[in-house]
Amino acid sequence: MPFYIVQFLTGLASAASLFLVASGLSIIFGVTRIVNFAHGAFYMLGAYVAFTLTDRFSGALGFWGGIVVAALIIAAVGVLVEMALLRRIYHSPELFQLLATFGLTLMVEDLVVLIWGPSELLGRRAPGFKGAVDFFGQNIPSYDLFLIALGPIVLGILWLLFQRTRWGVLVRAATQDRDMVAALGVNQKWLFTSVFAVGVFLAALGGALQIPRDAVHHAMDLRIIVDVFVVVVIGGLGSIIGAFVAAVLVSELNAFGILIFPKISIILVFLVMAAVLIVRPWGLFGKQEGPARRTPGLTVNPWRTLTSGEQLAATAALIIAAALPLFSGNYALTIGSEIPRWRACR
Amino acid sequence: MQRRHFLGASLAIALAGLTNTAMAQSEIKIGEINSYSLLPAFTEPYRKGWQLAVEEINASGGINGKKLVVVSKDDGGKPADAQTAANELVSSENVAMLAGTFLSNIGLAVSDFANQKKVFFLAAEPLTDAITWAKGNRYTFRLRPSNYMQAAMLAEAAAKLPAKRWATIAPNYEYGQSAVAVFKKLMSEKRPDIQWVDEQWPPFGKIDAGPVVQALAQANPEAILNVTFGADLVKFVREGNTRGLFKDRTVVSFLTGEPEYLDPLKEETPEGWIVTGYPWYSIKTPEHDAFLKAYQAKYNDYPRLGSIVGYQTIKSAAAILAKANSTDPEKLIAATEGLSVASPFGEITFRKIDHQSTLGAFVGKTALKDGKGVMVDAVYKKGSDYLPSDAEVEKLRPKE
Amino acid sequence: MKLSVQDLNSHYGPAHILFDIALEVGDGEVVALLGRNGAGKSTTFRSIIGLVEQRSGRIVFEGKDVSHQPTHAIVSRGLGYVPEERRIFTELTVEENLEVGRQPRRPNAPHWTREKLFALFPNLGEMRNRPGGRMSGGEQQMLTIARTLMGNPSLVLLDEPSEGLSPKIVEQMVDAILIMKKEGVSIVVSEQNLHFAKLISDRAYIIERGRICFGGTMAELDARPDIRDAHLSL
Repeated sequence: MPFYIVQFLTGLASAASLFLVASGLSIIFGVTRIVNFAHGAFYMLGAYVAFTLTDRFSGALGFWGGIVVAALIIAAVGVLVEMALLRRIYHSPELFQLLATFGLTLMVEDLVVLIWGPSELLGRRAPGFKGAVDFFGQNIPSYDLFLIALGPIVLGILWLLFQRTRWGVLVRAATQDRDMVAALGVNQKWLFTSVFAVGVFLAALGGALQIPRDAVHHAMDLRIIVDVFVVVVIGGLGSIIGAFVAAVLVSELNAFGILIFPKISIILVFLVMAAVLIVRPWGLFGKQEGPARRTPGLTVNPWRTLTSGEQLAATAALIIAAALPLFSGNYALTIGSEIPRWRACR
Repeated sequence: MQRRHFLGASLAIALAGLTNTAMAQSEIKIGEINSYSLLPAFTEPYRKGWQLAVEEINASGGINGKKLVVVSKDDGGKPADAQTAANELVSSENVAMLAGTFLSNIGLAVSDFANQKKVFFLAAEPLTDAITWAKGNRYTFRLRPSNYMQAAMLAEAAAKLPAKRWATIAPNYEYGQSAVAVFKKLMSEKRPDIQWVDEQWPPFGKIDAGPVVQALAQANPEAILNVTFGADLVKFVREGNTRGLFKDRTVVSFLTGEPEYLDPLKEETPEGWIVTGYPWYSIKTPEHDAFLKAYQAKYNDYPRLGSIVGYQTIKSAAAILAKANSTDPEKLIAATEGLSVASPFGEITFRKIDHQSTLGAFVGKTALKDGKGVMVDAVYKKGSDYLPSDAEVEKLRPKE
Repeated sequence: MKLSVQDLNSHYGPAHILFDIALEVGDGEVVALLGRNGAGKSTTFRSIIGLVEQRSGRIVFEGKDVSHQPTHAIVSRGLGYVPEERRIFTELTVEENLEVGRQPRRPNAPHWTREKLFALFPNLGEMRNRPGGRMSGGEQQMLTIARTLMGNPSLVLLDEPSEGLSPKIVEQMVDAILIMKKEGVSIVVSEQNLHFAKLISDRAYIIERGRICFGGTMAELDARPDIRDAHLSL
């Protein structure tokens, strides 16, 4: 019996970081309607920057300060990204947004290898939470207990933030009807930016808090983003409580799944997701989207027909490309065929 | 502006094509594929290794007077991308042979491609036994000691342990499954008295280490076989240390002594694990000294096992091409079967019977020294000593 | 002059909706914008506060040209907007809906507090913590007006406030608009209901197919039954 309790607690500890990252994604989506694929990249950057800061500054203050400062730094980076990139694509089709944020993820992956090198990095253990606590003969890491406590605390803080502050009321209003919020004199730009900053802060904090138990490496982002999407889908997009419940559900499924089906534990989670979606298509705590409230006249056409000059250039380009095999070697052909592929894939 | 830009680009491509055709007469190309973006911890030293080899080969006159060129592609860790890359290398680049790959499932995918398209393929790293045995084909050769060979080296030491209750943990894909299966088989032959009490199969790169460690501890094994590596290994070791999993238990572990995987563990390095690996700091042979000196001089960094694999892959490929003096796949196969080449670990031979090289590995124990993980009591095990008999191999390999 | 609109043209994509709209609102005036369904009343309002992106023309509010400003900037100058569809935040309570509308006090406009608005719309005061989604149409109409008043506007664009309401609620609405007028808020109210407009307005414009085809006092409109019959459905 103690084993199952410890296994349950271990699951809860894994849920904490997952919840932080998922709630950030959910909040950002709720207001900006951007499916932020780069969310995992911010999680990873949080871990890397926290690694550097906690490595550089010793002591308990160095560690805990490093974690928080890392999350703040990445939140600031998030603000820059929002202002430079996302503001331009809020009205674009989802696919554009997904591509843009996915491209960002790939850039960040290359960037961290350039800055921090290709090897896995081992972060410091948390001062005061280095060992394990004996629980009827089972060991449970004290840091896990810290994470277990942290999850509900963050949930509570977020709840207060959204229910008890003007900012929270505006965010919830904008989640439902952005244009009306603007029509009441609220500058959405800064509202969106601040929401994005909070979401990124949560992701980076989730990443930074992993350094005592995880390896910091360049593929952390894709590893977490899949789980996070599953959590957000199960919990319901835009719901923070949903993110919390789903994070616990997914983590416990992992923790107990490996006992029963060690080889297919990963599939179990997706099976549950499918089941939830059949019963509740908007997730456990999600609400059915009302008919999209958009103000007529505010839709932007992302496509523009080419001018005649541009059409001519495009035609010429096509002819040259088509004629390439006539006069160039294999190498040119490969490069030539790589160009459109590259544009499409990376 | 836009149009001029494009015309310029087209012209550049066309010119590049012309010069390329002119140069093609005097060079030999090897097409190389690896998971550069997915596994930089291995592939960066690997790339440095093969670049050093290319430099050395061309400095000493190339291949029968022709310049050696390696065209390298990233498969991103996906078998389908690896096959696409292989196809491009063969059809667009006219490479004489394919080489490389790391992950076992990708190695198998490229091997399959090589068999279908009748292209010579020298697999560098993928460890699965299938690549030379169950799914072996006449176009594919493999450099690194296979799972069977490493398992045999480890089982030799593991069988001497008193432990009877064993648990296993391995990444849930071709390599992990193959390693566990062959280790179990070899151990059970040597020690019919042992019991397998638990097995954990975390998804590759996605281990949820806490629950996995807890589950292993609950099974209360006396010894554990580990096949995880990279980030999974780091998480497994950390959770294992915190939860006391390794206390009073022996761990036998594939690859953990390789600097790629041992170095990141730093002060968390568990002591006394029996591992295969590469203790570059304690190898004192003239062949290795020469390699080490050249590598450190060029890169101002120490080599990882990936450096050896990259270096030896291209060195072997060059020897094959030189001996065949042709790029015809059949001549390359004929040249490779039974070919002996020098390596930093001593002379190795590509076996005719199953196309496996006899490159060996070091077996030793992990230890913590000045806050860093090292391999101690390391002994080089020749690959040729850890392969099954020819009669058995004949049975394992499909008839052609 | 509170608001002056000249040469206002608007498009939805390729469709040209408004043609050279011109209208003026004086300080403390209530002006009706009359017209049938689809005549362009709502588009006129949306264009004035910048919710229609493709628009041209000159919009001067309190002596400032706001034609090129974004919606939130125009609104936070004190130009309030009450949409026809009400657009209540259904997840938010009555008090929270009012909070979204809250803006700092303005020297040249009446100041509204929650308590003052609850006095104006007593129904709302009884359901302060009820989510907007669980209110009747009439209550929602009151809330949407109250929400805009929380911004202390000096001018309110009121889009069809009587639409779909019971006669009893319409009466309350008339009272509320007259109180707003008394407090000093200038109002432009769009209506199909001429009777309702007459009760509250000083002047009227008639819009038909995106063009203003009449402008004058209510008395002048009364004197032209031909115009009334041609452009308004009674």
